[in-house]
Order: sequence, then structure tokens, then C-alpha cells
Amino acid sequence: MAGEEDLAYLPLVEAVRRIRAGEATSRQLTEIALSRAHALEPRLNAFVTLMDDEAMAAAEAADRRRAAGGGALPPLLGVPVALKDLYDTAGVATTAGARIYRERVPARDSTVTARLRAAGAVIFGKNNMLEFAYGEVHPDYGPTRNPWNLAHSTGGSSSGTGAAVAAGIGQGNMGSDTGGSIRQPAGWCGIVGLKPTYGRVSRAGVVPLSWSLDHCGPMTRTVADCAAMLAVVAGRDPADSTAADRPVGDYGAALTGDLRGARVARLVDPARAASPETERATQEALAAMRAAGAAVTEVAWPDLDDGSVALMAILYAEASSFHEEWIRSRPQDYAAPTRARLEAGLRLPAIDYLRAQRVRAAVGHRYAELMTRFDLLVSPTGRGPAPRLGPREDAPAAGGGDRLLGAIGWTGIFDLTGMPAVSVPSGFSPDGLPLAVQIAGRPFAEGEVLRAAGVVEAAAGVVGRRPPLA
Amino acid sequence: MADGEDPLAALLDRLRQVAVALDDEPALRFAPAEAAPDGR
Repeated sequence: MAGEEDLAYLPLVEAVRRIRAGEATSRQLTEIALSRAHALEPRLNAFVTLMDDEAMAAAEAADRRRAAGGGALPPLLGVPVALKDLYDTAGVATTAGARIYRERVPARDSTVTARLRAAGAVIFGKNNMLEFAYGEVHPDYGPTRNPWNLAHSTGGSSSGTGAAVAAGIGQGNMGSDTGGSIRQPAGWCGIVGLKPTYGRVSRAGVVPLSWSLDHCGPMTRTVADCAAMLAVVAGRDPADSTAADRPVGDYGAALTGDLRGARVARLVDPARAASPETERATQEALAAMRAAGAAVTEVAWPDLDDGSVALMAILYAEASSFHEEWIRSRPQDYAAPTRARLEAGLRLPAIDYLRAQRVRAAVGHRYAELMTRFDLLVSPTGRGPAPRLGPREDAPAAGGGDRLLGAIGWTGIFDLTGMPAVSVPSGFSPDGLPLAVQIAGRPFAEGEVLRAAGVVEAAAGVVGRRPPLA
Repeated sequence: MADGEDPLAALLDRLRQVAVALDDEPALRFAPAEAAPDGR
């Protein structure tokens, strides 16, 4: 079934082209996505819900729309995509990976869901995730496994999304990121994950974790696919006052491969040494950026620890505010570590929340100053490739306290500052696990960030490499 | 985190140290308590 597998891994932009040209049908691609999801689910545990009947009906409607012709076709017509299970889908359960939401069926689509449907995409499934995106697997749902090695973690909280995209299940997906929940699983699963600027993508109809830190963004197999999805979901939304009224760029056109004039800071923190293979891949990514015309300078990574502490305090308070009623009335329905975090958040004094916001403003000031001297900031997405699933997931942080503080250590700073940041594959470890770099830019400069990611992607030569799932 | 561990105390200790250090930076001493993260 090599032909089917090739279609399963078809990049989103190529699927769009083939459907328009009549070289493939939405029905064909959607059937492949669904059958592959069902076949791999016992091994991956990447989905909470598969929408077989609804998706096939939508695929057939897309094929009829294409056959009817007349007028411009919607930009993602007929392409099968899935969603992290915190994007509301009208009439379809949206669980957020939580027992508390197990039976929840929203009446309306999230804005992102609606925009994808309006763009012609076929929503075929809802992906497994960490409970309420708060760092822990709920035992009712269980962990997702990494397609590159089933004994290893996908990272989280967009765990099912990372695994599904890497396993060639669907042409695109949407995750969410509060401390790194798009970029960490993207990095560990060998795919592209973009956390856009705060306010770039509406969060209306998305189950919140922490409203001043939550970001919605695409997770795809290629940078061009990421650009195509962002262009569809970005933009002002009257249903979300934080969705910015800023023009949506032609992100695909930004992928020129030309970085001439770009000033790149390689961020370095002596307390965060990457694994040797990750460091090597990062150096290769920087060499590719230099070859494309960028000037690269090594810079001390500012405020990484202070920013992480501020983020955690804000996260504790905001998450507990959302969960207050349930953590008092249904504490037993949460995974134990989630419950501990939420109960701690209830006791976080208002003055400490304000201290954290004050630190956040100071950190934001320093990053704004840094971005007067640089256009792009580059680092590894994390210390190394995906760790093994198991006790490590619940291990306390070094020195005690919440292990989440360590998990957000490389990525959370850009949730705190709201800057766009992408994780892009940069190579593989000797034992076949993906490696990744993170590229951040100025607010609303997603085009520049994706352009640089495209350069790294092209040089790394990882597109088309598939995990050993046959 | 381990079952039964209170994650709050260690976090608040660190946060307070960070906030005190901010007072030593005159340019940032009056950083507002809230700012839109995208700089708006």
C-alpha cells in the first residue's frame, strides 16, 4: 500500500493542488486519514474522537463543490485536518483530555474550527492531549506514544496532534501553546509547530488554560503547510477581544529562502546546555541561515529563569480561576498532579500574581529592546530528543517544586512575551529521534519567522522522512 | 510533581526574589503590573 502511504504523507499544499487539479479527491484523502488513524490508534493513542461519518459527508461535499466549479475555490478545499480536543466542534464531544469534560458536546464551533470549515477543510478527528493542557496525562485517556519510537514521549500538551501529524494522519492540525505545548511536541515528533503572536489567532471556543498566555497555532509536516493554515485561521474576531485587528500576511509568499539582511541572535544560557546532538543540529541550522544571508551573533539568553517563574505564577492563578468551581466540587475527577496545581493556585495571593505581572512587563521590556538589535532569536526547542515515557514524566523538578517549571524552560519565555516562535525539525539523533530548533521574532512577524524556518527545513533535509510504523 | 507535594511555596519564594531584584533596576522599577504581551 505504498501509494496510500504516499498520499497519507502528502503535504497540505500539495493535497490542495491535487484536489483542485482533479488528481486526488477529498474522499480518497479523508478515507486514508481515517483508516490510518483507526489502524494506528492501538499503538499511538493519538485521538479521542474520530468523526468518520461527518468527515466522509464533508469530503463528498467538497468533491461536489470542486466538480461544480464556478468562482474561486476555498483555500483548503477537501483537505483532511484534525484538531487538538480543546477546539469546540458543534455536535461533537470536546473533552480537553479531562474526565470533567468527558460528556461535553458544544453547540457551536470555535472560531478556528469555523474558519477551517469555511476554507473547505474536512475536520475528521479530535486529538488526545494532556488534561486541560495543564501538563499531565489523565488516566482516563492515557499517554500518546511517539511514532518515531513508541517507547518515547510525544511531549505535550498537544500530544495527540504531534503524533498524528508525524504519523501521516491527516494533512494538518491545530494545537495550543501556553508554555510550549505546540513547540515541545512538534520538536519531539519531528514536525513544524508555530506558536503565533499573542492575539494573532482567535481563541473563541477554545477551552482556556491561562487566558493571558494561551496561543492557538498550526502543527504540520512542512513550513509551507504551516503558513497555509495560519493564513486561514489568523485575524480579527469579534468573539475574542484579544484577537488583533492586524492584517493577515501572505505567509506562503514569505518563504523565499532569502535571509539577506536578517540579524539573528543565537540565544545561549550556560545553565541550559543542549545535548550534543541537539547542539550539533542547532549549529547546522545556524550555518544554513548564514548561507542564506543572515548575520548570526551569540547572545546571552535574557531572563529565562525569572520569566519561567513569572509564567508559572500567572499560570497557577489564571488556571485556578477558570477551574475554581470544579476543583472545589469535583477534585477527585482530576489527575493528582493537576489537582495539586489547581489547589495551589487557589492559594496564590493576589499580590504575587501582580508581582508576576510586573516581572512579565520588565521581561517584555528587555525583549523589546533586544528586538531593536535583532530580527530573529534562535535556540534549540529543548535540551534533547524525546525522553522515554515513564516515571520521568512525573519526576519532580531539580531542586524540588513543580516539574512543569523545567518543562517550560526553553519555550515559555515566548508565551510570556507573546512573541511568535516556531519549532522546526533540524535533524535526527543517532537513534532516530527528531531534533529541533526554535526561531522567534517580533510580534506579528510570523512571515519572517517562517521564512527562517523554511531555510532550516530545506537544509536539514528531513521532509519526507517517515517514522517506522509499517 | 510527586503526589502530596505543595508546589506553591518554592515558586513564591523564587518569585519574590525576582521581584525584589527588579527594584535594583531603576529603568524597570515602575514597570506596570500588566501589559499586553504583544506590546499593544
